[in-house]
Amino acid sequence: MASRAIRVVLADDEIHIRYLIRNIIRAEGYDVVGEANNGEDALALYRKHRPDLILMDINLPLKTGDEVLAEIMRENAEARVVMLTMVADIETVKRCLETGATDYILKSNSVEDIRRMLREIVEALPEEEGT
Amino acid sequence: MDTGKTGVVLGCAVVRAAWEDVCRVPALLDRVGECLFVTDEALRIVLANRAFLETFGKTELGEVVGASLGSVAACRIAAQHACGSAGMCADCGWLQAVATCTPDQRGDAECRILTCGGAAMDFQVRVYAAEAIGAPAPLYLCSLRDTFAEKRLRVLERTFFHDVMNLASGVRGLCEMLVDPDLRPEEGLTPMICESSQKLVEEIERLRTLRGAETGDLRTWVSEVSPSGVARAVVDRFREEAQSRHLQVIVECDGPVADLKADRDLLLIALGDLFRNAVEASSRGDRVVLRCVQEKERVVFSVFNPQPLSQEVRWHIFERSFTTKGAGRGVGAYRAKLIAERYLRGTVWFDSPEPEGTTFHLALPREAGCSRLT
Repeated sequence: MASRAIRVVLADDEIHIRYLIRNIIRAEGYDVVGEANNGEDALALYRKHRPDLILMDINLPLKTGDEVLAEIMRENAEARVVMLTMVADIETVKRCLETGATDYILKSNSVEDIRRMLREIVEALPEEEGT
Repeated sequence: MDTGKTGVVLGCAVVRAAWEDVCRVPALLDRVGECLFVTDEALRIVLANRAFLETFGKTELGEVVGASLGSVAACRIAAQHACGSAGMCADCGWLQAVATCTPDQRGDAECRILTCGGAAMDFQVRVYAAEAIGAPAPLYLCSLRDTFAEKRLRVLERTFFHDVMNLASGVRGLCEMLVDPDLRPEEGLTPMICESSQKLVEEIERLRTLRGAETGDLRTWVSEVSPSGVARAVVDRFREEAQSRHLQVIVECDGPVADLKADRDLLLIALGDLFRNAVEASSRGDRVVLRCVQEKERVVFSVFNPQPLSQEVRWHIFERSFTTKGAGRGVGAYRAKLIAERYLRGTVWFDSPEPEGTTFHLALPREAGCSRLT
C-alpha cells in the first residue's frame, strides 16, 4: 500500500455517480484532488494536478472521455487513466485500452466490486507513484 | 416450374423477355418473401416481385415498370429531381450499392428513403449485376430487406441500457453505501438517493410514454397548466446538464401568458426533449433560451441554441432512428413531435438559419390541448 495518499481526479457528468465514486475513493484512503463534470475541465484538472490516477467517464460533454484520454496520452504516455463505463460502451472501452487507458471499471458493478477493482489498480501502479 | 400460376409480373418487353429466357427468374421472384426487383442500366424497373409491389402499395407491375425506385417509393428527393440526379443522391444507399457491384461482386449498402408523406423507410440493399442475352447492357437484380423495425428496437435498447442502467446502477451503489460500515458517506446521501431515484423514474416514464405514444395506448390527463411554470420546470430538470457544459440558460416569457389546458406531464416530456437536445447540441459558454409567448389562441414555446443544424440533420431530425449523439443516443426530437402533434394537438417545427443558430418551436392551442381525454 502507498506510504502517501494516492491523488485522484474524478470526471463524470452524473452528480450521483461522482458522489458514489468519490466516497469509495475516500473510503480506500485516497485523495480526490479534483472533480469535473465535462471533458474539458477533466483535461484542465489533469494538467493542473498531474494526479496518480484519473477515473473518467466515457460519455462526457464538451469533450468525450476518449478524446481527453488521447490528449493525455499525447502529453504523458505514463499517465494512468481508468475509464468509468457501462456495458453498452464496451466497444469504446476497447478503443480506449488501445489508446492507452490503464483499465476500466463498470459502473454497474457493486460497490464492493468497484472498491476491489480500485485497490487492484492502485496496487499495480509503479513503485514511484504508489509509494 | 408452373409460371402460369405465379402471376409472373410484366415488364419492359424486350429486356424482360431476354431475362426470362435466360434465367427463368420471374417465377422465382414471386416466391421470395423479400422485396426483389430488376432494373436496366438506366435504373428503370423492368421486373419486380409481389413483395416489392406490396411494400410500396402497388397491385400491378405496370404501375412500376419503367419507373425508378425513388418514384415508386415516393422519395421526397425524387419528387423534385429525377431519381439519382440530385446532390443528396450521392448518399443514397441503393445507388451506392449499384455503383459498387460488378458481375463478380455484390453491392451492399444501407438505404433510407424519406417519403413525401414524411415517413422513413430503412432497407438493407443488395445488388447483383448480370449480363443477360439480348439485353444491351447489364441488368441489376436488387433486394430490399426492411430494417426499420430493427433500427427502432436497437435505438430503444441502446437508450435503455445507457440512460436507465446508468441511473439504476448509481441508485444501487448509493443504497449500498447505507449498509457498508466502511464507507461512512459524507452528508447528502439521502437526498442524493431521492433525486437519482426520481430521475430514474422519469427516464422510465419517458420510455414508457414513447412506446405508448407509438402504439396509441397513451392516456392523457388534462388540467390548467401554467406555461411559465412548465418552462421553469423543464429548465430545473436539465440544470445539471446545462451546468456541465457551462451554458447560460435563460427563461423568457414575453408579456402575460395565460394558462392553457393540456396534459402537463406530456408537455414536460415533449418540451424537455427539445430543451435537452438544445443543451446537448451546445458548446461551452453558449446561451440557451427557452421562451414562451401567447399568440392569440395558442401558446408557443421556443428553444434556441446558437448551433445551426447541418443539411443532413435537417432532413432527418424528426426520424425515429436518427441521432446526432453517437451510438445509442437520442429519440428526443422524434418523441417531442409525436407527443405534441398526436396527443397535445400541437405543432413542432424548427428553423436553423446560419449563423444565428437553431430554434425549435412547440405551439399548443390554449383550449382542449389533448386529443385523447381520459
